[in-house]
Amino acid sequence: MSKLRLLSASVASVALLLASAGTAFSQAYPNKTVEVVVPYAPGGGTDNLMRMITGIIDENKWSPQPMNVNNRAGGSGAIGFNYLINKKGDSHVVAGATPMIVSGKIEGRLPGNHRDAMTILMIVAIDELMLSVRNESPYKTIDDFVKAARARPGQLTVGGTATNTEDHIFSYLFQQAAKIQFKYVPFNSGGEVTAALMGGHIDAAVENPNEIVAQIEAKKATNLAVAARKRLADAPEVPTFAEKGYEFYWEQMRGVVGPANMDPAAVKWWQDTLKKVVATEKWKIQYIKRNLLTPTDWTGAEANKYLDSLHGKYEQALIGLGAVKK
Amino acid sequence: MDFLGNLALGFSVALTPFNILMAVCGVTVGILIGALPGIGPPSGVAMLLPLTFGMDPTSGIIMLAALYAGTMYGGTITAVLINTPGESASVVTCLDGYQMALKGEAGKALGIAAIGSFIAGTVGVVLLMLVSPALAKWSLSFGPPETFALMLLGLTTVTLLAGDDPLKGYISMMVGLMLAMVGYDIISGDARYGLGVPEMMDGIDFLPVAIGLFGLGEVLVGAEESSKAQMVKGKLGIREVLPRWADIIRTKWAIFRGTVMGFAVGVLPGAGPTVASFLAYTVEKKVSDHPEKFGKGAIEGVAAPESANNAAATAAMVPMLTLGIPGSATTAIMLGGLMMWGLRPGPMLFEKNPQFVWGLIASQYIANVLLLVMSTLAIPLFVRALRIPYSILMPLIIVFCVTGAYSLKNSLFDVGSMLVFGVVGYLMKKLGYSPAALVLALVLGPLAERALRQSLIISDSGLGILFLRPISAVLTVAALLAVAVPVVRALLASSRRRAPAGN
Repeated sequence: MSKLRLLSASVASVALLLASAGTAFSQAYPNKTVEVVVPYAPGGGTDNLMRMITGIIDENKWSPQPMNVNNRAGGSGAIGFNYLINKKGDSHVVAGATPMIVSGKIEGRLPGNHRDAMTILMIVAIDELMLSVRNESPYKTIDDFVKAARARPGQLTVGGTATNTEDHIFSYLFQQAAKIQFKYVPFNSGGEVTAALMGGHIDAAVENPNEIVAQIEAKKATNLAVAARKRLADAPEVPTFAEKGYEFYWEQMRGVVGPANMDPAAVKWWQDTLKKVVATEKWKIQYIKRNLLTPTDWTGAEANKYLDSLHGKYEQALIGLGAVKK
Repeated sequence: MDFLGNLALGFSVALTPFNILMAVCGVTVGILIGALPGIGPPSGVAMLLPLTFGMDPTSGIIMLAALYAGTMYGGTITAVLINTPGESASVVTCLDGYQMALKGEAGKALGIAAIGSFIAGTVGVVLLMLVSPALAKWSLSFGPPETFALMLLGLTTVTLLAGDDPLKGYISMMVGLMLAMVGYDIISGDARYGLGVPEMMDGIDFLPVAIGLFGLGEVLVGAEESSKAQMVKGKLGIREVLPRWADIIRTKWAIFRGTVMGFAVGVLPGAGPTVASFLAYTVEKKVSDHPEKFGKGAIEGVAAPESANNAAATAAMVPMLTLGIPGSATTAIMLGGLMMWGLRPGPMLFEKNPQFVWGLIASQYIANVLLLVMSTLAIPLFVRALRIPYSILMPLIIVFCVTGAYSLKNSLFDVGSMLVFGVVGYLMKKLGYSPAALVLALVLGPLAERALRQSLIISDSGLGILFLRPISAVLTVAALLAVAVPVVRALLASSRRRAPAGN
């Protein structure tokens, strides 16, 4: 009886092996559960992104193996990305990427970056950053704000999320570009920044489009300018800083990243699958449009080149902010 | 505004069989999630959120809101039965809830918590319905100076938590504040006291600390008393365990004050149910005519914070729905859910999606009724767990504490932190220091520090900003008086007696 069972089990497993091999060798990946690491807490931007991507993959049954989303939060992403970096060569672990994969090494929070310790799979979207005021504010345009900041140097207050972050660097670059000085007030989350702005406790705030859009629609807040190269498709009335003569560009990228030395077949599988993901209606409407993002689908050299360009900017800004010693 | 018409619309949405089923599921899962230490409301909502994507948004939010209400109660169960807070807002419930359980009144404690939660939740929904816009405006008037003043006032109440010796209370608080300094400094971005351990960079998470101090600490103390064969003696029928009318009448003001306090704090951005429950407890002890009974099993010490955390959970929806600004981690995740369903929370939501908003409000009533019924039925069952001999219960509690600490962030570091603070809790208890004061400082410390430093950046007049704005001025003066009055009184008393005052 037990011999028979053993026999049938081995026959079955051989058959399974053959079947999986037979379906095509390029489909060999993934051949076990894929761990999808979110280096941040549930409910944040990266968490939303990775749950959306794995949700679309599941719905369309594009992966023969389950995807297991794990939040490994802590140290502003350092815990999760360190975990990923330590999985060198393991093709069955990927993570949601933020600019931390570039800036982490500069700040000494990560042992490596997108070039030497991780494999960028795709940059899927760009989140723009803008300067917003509430409607009771005396500043109706970006020029009003800059004029006031020049008249009262170091007096105006601008809120943003945390220190040495994208928001903080935005405020640094803006001060450099407009040759002004104001006080940057760090808050714990985008929600708290918006609450402080709407309560009139700060003069202006650095916001991602989806953090402020509810106030804009209710005509309670105004976006003064966006730090993009061209105006946003969904908000064509908001000027760019550059066109107003304060030339700087700053944004936040979102993507998917794997560990170093990933199997080329696995890299290809992820690139192909993510290409399919970003082409779905669900992605375009429920992720890109709803969060007011700029869609991208950069992979390989293109993605790496983009991240390289961020490297220099981060290094300069973080030195300027005193977060990194020269 | 056709208020009754809107409410009728809401009930017609919420009372469909499917939506009632969703509310039942939400409450049930919520109680379970709340009862498991570690998995708190934010992770519970995050885990169930993907399930709701296939649903109609209204059904989805009904389930999530019911779940949130359920977790607020679930956390109470373990707090009362085994002194282990299931989630952060139940920490303060351990103080008197567990003492009641030791006296054989676990059912009464759980019952009064359920009734308080029901009343607070229901009143909260009524307030949500009637005065949301005004409240939302009020909540925005709380900037950094006001937040700091409120936290300062909260910290001054520490002696009320501390028991007999105020000095030991302050020492516990200082240790808590020092622990609260660990991690990245949000203003400068520098790492502080992290010893290079990445897990410590976000600060010391207070839930593993609380699970260790209360849950494990209690087990260690209990282990010494080998005679303690069984925790609860006596009959455990429905009649014996549930609270009586007299208990409800006796706690009506505690429930009322807890509700008001909880709602007021819950509306504020960044404060939330945990802070609300601590403040409600201390207020209750302050106004009580028998403060000496607190910490020794006073029923008001359970009723007030339990009412407060449910009222705060409802209140947190006010800024989320009316302003589109999340007031807590849990509502931030719900907000993400709303946006994925294609709704835009914020000032326009009430106009654009009335069936959604009023369906949610009506379902909150239903969730509260369900919560009361289900918890009342389940209490005799829970209380029976205490009949398990302590020698068997003890290892179970330890397993509970370990899995709870781990499941918070899938991190062994948190388990280690829980174990260390278990030993600390044991020592504190032996030496008469107050673990609650330490936890309070660890909760309020980071909020207070951040708000103070934001105020100082904004201010042109240094600390003067605290006195220049009306709300923060009142709160700051109240906090200063809370510290000064007992000291002055002690000095006067001692000079009269011509002998040094006892510390």
